[in-house]
Amino acid sequence: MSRAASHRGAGEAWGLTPFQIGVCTMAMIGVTAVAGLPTILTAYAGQEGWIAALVALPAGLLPLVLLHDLDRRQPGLTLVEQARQALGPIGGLVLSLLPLALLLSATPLGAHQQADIVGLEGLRHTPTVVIVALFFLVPLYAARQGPEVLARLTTLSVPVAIGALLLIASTSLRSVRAENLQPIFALGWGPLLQGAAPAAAWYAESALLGFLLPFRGRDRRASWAAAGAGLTIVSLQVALVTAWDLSIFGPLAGRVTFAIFQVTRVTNLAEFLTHMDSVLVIAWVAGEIARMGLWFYCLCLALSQCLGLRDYRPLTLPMAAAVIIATCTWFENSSQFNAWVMHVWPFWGLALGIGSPLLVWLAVVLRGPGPGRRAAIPAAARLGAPERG
Amino acid sequence: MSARIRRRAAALLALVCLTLVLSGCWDRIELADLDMVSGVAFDAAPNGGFRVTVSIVLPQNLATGGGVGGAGGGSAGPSEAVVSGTGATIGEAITAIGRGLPGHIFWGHTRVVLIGEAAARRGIQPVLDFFLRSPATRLATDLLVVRGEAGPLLQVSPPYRVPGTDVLYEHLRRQREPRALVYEVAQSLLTTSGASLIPEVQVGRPAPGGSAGGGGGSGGATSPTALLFTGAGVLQRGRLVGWLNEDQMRGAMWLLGTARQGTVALRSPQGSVSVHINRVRIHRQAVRLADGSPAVRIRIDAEDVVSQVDAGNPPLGDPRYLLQLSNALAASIRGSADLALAAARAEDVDFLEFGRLVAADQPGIWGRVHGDWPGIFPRLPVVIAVRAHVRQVGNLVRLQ
Amino acid sequence: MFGLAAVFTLLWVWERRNLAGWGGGERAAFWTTWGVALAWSVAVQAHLHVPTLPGMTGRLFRPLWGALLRQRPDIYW
Repeated sequence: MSRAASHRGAGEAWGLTPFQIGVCTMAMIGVTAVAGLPTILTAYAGQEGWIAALVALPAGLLPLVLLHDLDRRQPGLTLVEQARQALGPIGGLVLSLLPLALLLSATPLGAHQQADIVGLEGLRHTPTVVIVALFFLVPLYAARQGPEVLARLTTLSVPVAIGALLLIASTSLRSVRAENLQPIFALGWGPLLQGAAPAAAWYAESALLGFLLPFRGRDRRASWAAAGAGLTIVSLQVALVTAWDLSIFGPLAGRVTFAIFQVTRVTNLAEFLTHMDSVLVIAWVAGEIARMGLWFYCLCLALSQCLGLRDYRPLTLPMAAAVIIATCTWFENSSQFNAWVMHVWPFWGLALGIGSPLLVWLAVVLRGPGPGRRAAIPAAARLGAPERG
Repeated sequence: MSARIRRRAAALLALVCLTLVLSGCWDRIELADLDMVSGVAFDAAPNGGFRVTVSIVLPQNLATGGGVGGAGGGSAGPSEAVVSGTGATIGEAITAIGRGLPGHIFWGHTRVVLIGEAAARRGIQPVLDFFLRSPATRLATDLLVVRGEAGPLLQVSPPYRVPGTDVLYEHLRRQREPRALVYEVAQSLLTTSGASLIPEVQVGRPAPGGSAGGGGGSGGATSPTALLFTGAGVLQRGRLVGWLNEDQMRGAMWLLGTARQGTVALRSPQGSVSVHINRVRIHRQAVRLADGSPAVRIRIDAEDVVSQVDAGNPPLGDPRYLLQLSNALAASIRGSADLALAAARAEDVDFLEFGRLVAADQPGIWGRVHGDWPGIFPRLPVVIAVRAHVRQVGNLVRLQ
Repeated sequence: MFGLAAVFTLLWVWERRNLAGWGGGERAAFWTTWGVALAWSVAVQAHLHVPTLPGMTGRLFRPLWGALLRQRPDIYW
C-alpha cells in the first residue's frame, strides 16, 4: 500500500506542506517558462521583455484565487470532482474537458521543448523518440507513486536547478552590459502587452494546481499563499533571466533559440570555468523530470476521474505512450513549434488556463453542491488503489 | 523470492540498463577522437567561395614544445597542425577539411577567428552565422581581421607560447587591445548604426634584441615569428569599409568606454616620461540641446602612475610637474579621441555607438531622428572632457 | 513493429500482476487507451493524415494572432 494511501486511510494529517506546494508550483510552470519565454518576450517587447514577464503575473494569480475559493467551499476535491459535484456526471464531464484539453495539449508541448533542447545542445544524433522515452521513465515511475513522492522529488530537483542558474549567472557577470536594457517604457503598451500574452498563458497553467492542492495539509491559506508565492517567484525568475539575456545579447536575445542556453556559451570564470553547458543541462533535466512527473500525474488523475475510474495508475503506461507519440509527431520542425508557441499558445493557453477554473467556479457558485449530485468517487481514487508487485 | 527482493532486483536492473545509455550511445565521441581547433581563419576563395584554415592542437606534443607542423626540425614534434579546405560555402570548406582529418572536428576550444581582408569586404555574416548557429562553438570567441590573407597567420609560431593562437588570445585577454567577440559583433549588425570595430593583426618581426629562437620549428631569418596588433578594421553592416591606425583605435577605445589600461609616452622640455594608466572611468551620455537636437557628452577620468623615465631628468618630486604631466596626458588622450571621432565622421560610420547612446538616453529624440541618422551623425555635437591624474611616481623619485 | 512488440511484452510483464487486481473499468480503460496509442502510432508510421495540435488550433486562432500579435520593428537598438 502506498504511504500516502495508508496515511489517508489511517486518518493521519498527511498532506503536501506549503513549502512543497510552492516548489511544485515553481517546477510545474517555471522550468519551461525560464527556458522558452525570454526569447519570446524579447522578440515582442525588445528591451522591455523583462517587464512583460512581470505584467503577465495577474493572469496566473487569477486561477489561483478561483481555485482557492473552490477549495474553501468544497475542500479536498480536484477540479474535475468540483465540476462533477456541481453539474452531475454528464455536465461535469463536459466542463472537465477544458482542463483535460490543457493537460493533453501542454504535456507533450513541454516534452517537445525538452527534447528540442537536449537534442540541440547535446544528443544531436540520438533519435527524438529515444530521448523522450528515456526522459519519461523517471517521471512515469514517480507519478505512479503518488503526489507525496512527486513533491519530495521536486524539493530535491528545484533547488539544484536554481543553484545551477545562479552559478551560470555568476560566471557570465562580466559579459553583462546594463545599457542594453535601456530605454525603459519607450515602446509603449502595445509591444509590452504582446510580450505579456504568451507569458500570461504560461502562468495560467497554475489552473492545474487544482489537481495537486487537494492533497494539501491542513493549513488552507498557507498552502494557497505558497502557491501564489511560487508563481510570483517564477515570474521574477523569468524577468531576471530575460533581463540577463538582454543585458548580454541585446537585440540578439530575441533571435536565438533558448536564450538561457546561449548564456552558457559566454560564461568565463577566471579562464577556468568556461564550458558551463553541462551545468545548465543538469539543472534543466533535474527540473524537467520533476515538472514532467507532476504534469503527467495531473493528466492521468484528470483522465481517470473523467472516466470515473477508481485508480489512475492503469492509465499511466498507455498515456505515456500517447504523450511520447504526440511529442514526436505533432510538430514538423522547431520553426513550426516556435511559431505555434508565439502566435497560438497565448490564446489557447489563456483560454483554457483561465477558462477552466472560471467556469467550474461559476458552476459551483451558481448551482452549489447538492447532496444528490455528490460525485461518487471514493477518496482512495485520488491516491490510487494499492499496487501489487 | 519476496516482493521486496524482486523490486530491488528490478530497480538494479533498470539502473544497469540506464547506465548503458549514459555515455550517449548515438552521440558518443571519444576524447581521443576529437580534433580540437585552437584557431580558424576565413579567406575569400577565387570563385566567391571560402577558404577555411584551421589550426588543430596536437595535445601529445604540447609538453615538448614545438611550433606548427612542418615548420622546422628539432626533436620536439609539432604542437599544432594547420589544415585548409575550400568550398562554395563555409560548410563545404569545413567538410573538405574534415575529409582529411582522422577525428571529429571540435570547435569548443577555438580561441581566435581570423578573417582575411577580401572575405571581410564581402561580408562576415556567414562567419557569424556559423559561430552563432552551431551549438559547439563559443560565442565569446575573439574576431580579428588581417590585411591580405588570414590563413598564413596560423602558420606563425612565436617561440614563447604554444600553440601560436594562444599569443593572440592571451594578448586580447589582458585587454591590451580592443576585443570584438562574436556575439558582440553580431549584435552590432542589428543596431541602427550597424557598425563595429574588429582588431587588426599582422605578422611582424620581433623587436630588436628579442629572441627569435627557442622551441622548435621557428627557424631563422626567413620565418616571421611575431604577431602584432596594428589598429582595427571598421565594419558597416558586416562588411569591411576601412581601417583605423593604432592612434585612432586607441581614441575609439576611449570614446567607446572600453579603454582599460595602457602606457603613454609623454615628452616635455625636462625629459620623456612614460605613464601607465591604471584606473579609468568613462561616462558617456546623450543629451538634448535647446533646439531639441541630440548631442553626446563623454567624460574620461584616468588615474596613472609614472612607469619609466625615458630621457632627461624630469623633476618628479615637484607636484607642479606631475600636474603638467597630468595635463599632457589628458591632451594626449584627447588628441587620440579626436582622431577617432574625425575618422568616424569622415567615413560616416558610427562605430562609436553614438546612435545606440541616443536611443538609450533620449528615446524621444531618437524616435524622430533614427531614420535620418546617417546624415545626422557626421554633424552630431560631441563634447569630450578628459581629466588625467598622475598619482604615483613608482618606487623611485629621481635617479640623478 | 519489433519495437512495438517489445514494448507490449514489457508492458504485459510490468502490469500483469496489477491487472489482476484492477476492476473491470480500469482494465477496459487500460486496454482502450493502449489501443488508441497503438492505432495512433501505426497511423503515423503509415503516413496517414492524423490531426495535430498546431493543425487544429492554428486554423482556429490564425485571424486572432494575425491581428493582435503582429510584431513591430524595434527602433531602439
